[in-house]
Amino acid sequence: MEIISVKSLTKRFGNFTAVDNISFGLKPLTINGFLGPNGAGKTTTIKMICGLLRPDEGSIFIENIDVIENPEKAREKMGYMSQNFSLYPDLTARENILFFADLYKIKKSERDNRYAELTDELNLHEYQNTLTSDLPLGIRQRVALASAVIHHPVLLFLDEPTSGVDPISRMKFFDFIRKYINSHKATAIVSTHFLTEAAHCNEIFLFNRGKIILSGQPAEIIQNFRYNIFETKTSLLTGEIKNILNNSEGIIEFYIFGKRVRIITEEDIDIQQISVRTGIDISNISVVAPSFEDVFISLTND
Amino acid sequence: MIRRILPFIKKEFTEILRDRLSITSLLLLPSILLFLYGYAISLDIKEIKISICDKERSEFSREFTDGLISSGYFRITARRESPNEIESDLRTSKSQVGIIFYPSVYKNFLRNNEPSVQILVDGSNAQSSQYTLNYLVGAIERFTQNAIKKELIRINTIQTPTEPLLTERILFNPLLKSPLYLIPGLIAFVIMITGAISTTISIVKEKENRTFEQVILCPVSPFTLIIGKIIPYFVISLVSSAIMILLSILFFDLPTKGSLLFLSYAVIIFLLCASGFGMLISTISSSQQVAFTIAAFSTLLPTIILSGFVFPINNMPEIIQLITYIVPAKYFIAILRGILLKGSSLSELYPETLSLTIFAVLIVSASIIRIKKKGII
Amino acid sequence: MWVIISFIKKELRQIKRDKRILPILVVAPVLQLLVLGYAATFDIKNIEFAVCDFDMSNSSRELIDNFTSSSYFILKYQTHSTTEIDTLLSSGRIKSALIIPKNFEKQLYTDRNTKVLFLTDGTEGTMANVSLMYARTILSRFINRYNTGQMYRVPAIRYELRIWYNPDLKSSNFMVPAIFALLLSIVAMLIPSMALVKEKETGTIEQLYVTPIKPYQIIFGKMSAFMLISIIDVVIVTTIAVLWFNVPLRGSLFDLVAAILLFLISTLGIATFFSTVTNTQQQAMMSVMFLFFLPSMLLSGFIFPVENIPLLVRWISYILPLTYFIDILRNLFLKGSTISELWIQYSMLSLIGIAIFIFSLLKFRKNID
Ligand SMILES: Nc1ncnc2c1ncn2[C@@H]1O[C@H](COP(=O)(O)OP(=O)(O)OP(=O)(O)O)[C@@H](O)[C@H]1O
Ligand SMILES: [Mg+2]
Repeated sequence: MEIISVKSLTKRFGNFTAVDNISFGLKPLTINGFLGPNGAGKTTTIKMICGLLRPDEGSIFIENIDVIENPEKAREKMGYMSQNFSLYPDLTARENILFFADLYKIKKSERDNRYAELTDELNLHEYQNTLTSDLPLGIRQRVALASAVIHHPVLLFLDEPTSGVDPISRMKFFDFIRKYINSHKATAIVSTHFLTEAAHCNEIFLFNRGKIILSGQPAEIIQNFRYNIFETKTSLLTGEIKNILNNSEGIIEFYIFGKRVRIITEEDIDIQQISVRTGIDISNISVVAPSFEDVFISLTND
Repeated sequence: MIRRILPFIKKEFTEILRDRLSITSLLLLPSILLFLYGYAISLDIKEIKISICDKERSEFSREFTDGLISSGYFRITARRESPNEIESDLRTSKSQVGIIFYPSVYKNFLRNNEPSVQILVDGSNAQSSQYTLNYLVGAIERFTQNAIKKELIRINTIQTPTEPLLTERILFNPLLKSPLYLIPGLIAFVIMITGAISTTISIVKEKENRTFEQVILCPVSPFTLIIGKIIPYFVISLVSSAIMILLSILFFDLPTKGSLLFLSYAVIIFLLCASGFGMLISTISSSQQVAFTIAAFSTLLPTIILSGFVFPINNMPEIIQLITYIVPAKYFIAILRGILLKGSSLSELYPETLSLTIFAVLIVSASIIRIKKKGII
Repeated sequence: MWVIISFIKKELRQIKRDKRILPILVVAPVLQLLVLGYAATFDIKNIEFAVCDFDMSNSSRELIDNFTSSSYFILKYQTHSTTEIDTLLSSGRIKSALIIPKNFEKQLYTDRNTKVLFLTDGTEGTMANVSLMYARTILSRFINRYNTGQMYRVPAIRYELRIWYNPDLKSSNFMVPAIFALLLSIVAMLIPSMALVKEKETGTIEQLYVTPIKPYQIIFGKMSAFMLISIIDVVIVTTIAVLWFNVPLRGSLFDLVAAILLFLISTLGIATFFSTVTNTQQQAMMSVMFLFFLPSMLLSGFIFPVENIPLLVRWISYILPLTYFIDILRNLFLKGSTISELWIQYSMLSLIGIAIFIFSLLKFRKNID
C-alpha cells in the first residue's frame, strides 16, 4: 500500500544529528509536503531517500526495493530537483533537458515527443535556446523540473522547488505536479517554506530539529489544532504590546504584523479572559480560524 | 580608499585561511619543493659508461683506455666480444660510448694508415652527449700529448717537453654546485605560479560564482575590488618567497653577498609582474578553466625554458632571443643570481632591474586600463 | 554505451560553448612547441669572452686566435686591466676571460712551463663546465702543435668518431619529444583535473547521481572529451616535430600510439583522482600542480637527468608517468627502440594508469558523503 516507507532513519554530521530517528510512510498518488524551519533536516531526508546520502541508521524501502542497499535499482523511478536548480550553466535549456533524457536512454523519437510536450506544458518555447545561466530564476525552475521528469519517474523529489518564484508561477507549478501525478500514477515529495502550499498537499510532514513533529492531512492538522487564535488591532507601540503580552498568563505565542497582533492561547482561554488579561477592549478583539501558519509557528518557535 | 579595501582584504584572507589545502599549497609547498629540488636536481654529468670491444689487448689499447679512465669521467661497464654487442649496448642505453679496437692497432699507430680505433657515441641525449664528446676529445688530446712526450724523449730531441699550465678559476660558484645556480630559477618559477595562477583563479572564481555582482553594488570601484583581491595573494607569495630565500641561504650556502634591500625590491617587482599578469588573464577569462588554461600555458614552460633558468639565452636562435625579452623571469633570474651569488649591486644590474620595473608598470597598467574600460564581469 | 556517448556529447558541447578554451587547447601547444623547441638548446656556443693579454707576443696572439676561431668563444672585450675583467664578469657582460701573463712566449721557449689564467662565471653551471672543457682542449692542442713543431714524425691517434642516432647532436631532437610530452600533460592532466570538480561546484553532480548513469561512465565520459582533444594535439604536434623540426621517427608508429595512449590514460587517471578527492576547482588545480605537475617538470628527466637525482628523491621520479613517457619517446624517436626493448617503461606506464584509475573509481562512489 505504501510506496515509500522509512523506518528509524538517522543521519549525523559529526556529533550533530541532522535527522533524528524518523519514520513515515507515503501513499501512492499523493503530494507530500515537507515543512519546517531552516536546518530542520528536510533536504537531508530527501537526499537519503534518493540514495545521495547514506543514512547512519534506519531503513528506506521504495515498494520493496531496499534503497540503501540497491540505490541503482530505484533510480529509473526517481526524478530529483535539488534545492538550487542545478543545471549546466553553459548549456541551453534544450540541451540540458535532452541531456538528462539521454542519460535515461530514452529513444530519440520518444524523447523528442516528451520534450515537445513538456515545453508546451511548462511554456518553455521562447527560452529553449538560451543558456540557462542567463535565464530568470522562475524559468530555470521550470527547466530543472522538465529535466527531472523527462524520463517519466513515478517518484518525484522536489527540494524547495518554489523558492524564489512568484506566486502565479507557484500555483501553476502545483497544477503541473498534480496533473503529472494523476497521469503518471506518481507520488511526490515537495519540501517548501511556503505554508500556503500546504493546501496543495495530500499529506504534510512538519520537521523540526531533525524530527517529524507533526504529520497528517492539512485539514486534519488544522482541525486538531488545540489552541485558540485571536486577532486585535492596536495603536500601541510594539514594545508596549510585547510587554503586556509577555506578562499575561495562558498566552502561548503572539506575533505582530503592522498594527495587527495575532495571539495564540491555551484552549481554555476565551475572548473575555483575553480582554481581561491584556486590558485590550473586547470590541477590538476577534476570534479567527487557525491557519497553517499558526500551527507552524506554535510548534516550531521556541 | 584604504578603508574601502580593508574589508575585502579581510574577507579574502579569511577565505584563504579557511581553505586549508590552498593555504598549505601556497605557503608550505613552495618551500618543500625548493628544498627537495635544491637537493635533487642537477645538471652534473655522472660517470660516462663505456663498452669496449678489444680482442687483441695491445699495449696501445690498454694505454688508451687507461688514459680515458684516469680522466675521471669514464667508467668501463662492459667488455664485449663483437662490435654488434657494442651496438646493442648503445641502443638499450647500457652505455653511452662504445670503443672498438680493431686488430693490429698498435702497428698502425704512428703511421698514417686507416683508423683502427672506432669510437661510437650515443648522440640521442643531446644534453649529456655534449659533455661526453668534450671529455672524449679532451682525453684523447691529452693522450696524444703524452704520446708526443714519449716520442720526443725517445728520439732525444729534447729532455723535457713543454707542459701546458692552465690555471683555472671558477668565480662565484667555485665548486659548480648545481643548487646555487638553479635555486634562483626555482624561486622565480614558484613565484610565477603562486603569484600569477592563484591570483587569476581567485578573481575568476568570484566571476564564475557571481559573487562579484553582489560586491559590485558596494560603493567601490572595480579597481579597488581587484586590488583587494590581489593583496592577500601578494602578501602570501611574498611570505613564501621570503621563506624560500631564507631556506636556500640556510641550507644551500648561498653566499648572499648583495644588498637585502635590492633583493626585496626585485622580489616585490617580480611579484607585481606575476600578479599583474594574473589580473590581465582574469579580465579576459570567463571561467576558471579558461583562466587556468591560459595561465598554465603562458607561465609554466616559458618560465623554465625561456628565462635562462637552464638554457643559456644567447645560444638560442635570434628570433627566440627576442621573445625572451617579454619573459619577466629572465630579468628576475639574472638579478637574483647577481645578488645572491655575485653580490652585484644595482649599478651592475641596472639594465635588468630597469626592464623588470618597466615590465611591471606596463603589465599592471594594462590590466588596470582593461578593468576600467570593460569592468570586471 | 549510449549513455557515455551522450555524456561525451554534452562535454564537447560545453567545451565548444566557451569560445576560448578549444582554440587555446589546440593552438597553444603548437605555438609553444615552435618556440620552445628552438629555445631548449644545450649547444653551448658563443660564450661571451674577454682577453687580457699582458704578453702581446706572437704566441699569445696565436693562442687567442685559437680561442676566438673556435666558435665556442666570442671575443667581446680586450683589455689590460684585471679589475675591468672583474667588473665585466660580475655584471654578467662576459662569462669567461683569458689572462695571459707577461713572458708567456719566453716561458714557452725556455722554462717549458707556460701559465695562463682562465676565469669563468660559475653562476650558470653548464656554461661554466663546458667553457672549462673547451679551454683545456684548446690549450692542449696549442701545446701539442707547439711540441710537434720540433718533430719529424708526428704521432697522432687516428680514430674514427661516430655519433649515432643524432649525428649533429641537435638539441631539438632530444628536447622536442620531451616538450611534446610536457605539453600533453598540461592538456591531459592539469586542465582535466578541474573538469569533474566543476560538476561538484555547480551541484549538477547530484543531479547525475540520481540518474542511472554509473560512476565509471561519468568518469569515462568526462575524460573521453579530453582524450579527444589530446589526440588532436598529438597529431598536430607530432607532425610539427617530424616535418618542421625533422626529429627522426625511427620507431614504429604502433609503438608510438601505444605509448601515447598509455600515457594519456595515466594522466587522465591522475586528473580524475584529484577531481574526486577535492571539492573546488581551485583545490584540484593546486593539488595537481604542486603534487604532480611541478615534480614532473623537474624530476622526470625532462631537463635534469634522472640519474643525478639522489635515490631517496628518485622514488618520486619513478611514480611519475612522465618519466617513463619521455624516456620512451626519446628512445623511440631517435633510436627506434621497440616495445620489447622498452618493456619496463611500457609496463610501468600501464601499471600507473590502471592503478590510479581503479583508485579513483573506488573513491568516486555514488554516495557523496
Ligand atoms: N554535509 C553536511 N555536513 C555537515 N552538516 C550538514 C551537512 N548537510 C547538512 N548539514 C546540517 O544538517 C542540518 C539539516 O540540514 P538540511 O539541509 O537537511 O535542512 P533543511 O531542512 O533542508 O533546511 P533548509 O530549509 O534551510 O533547506 C543543518 O543544520 C545543516 O547545517
Ligand atoms: Mg533544504
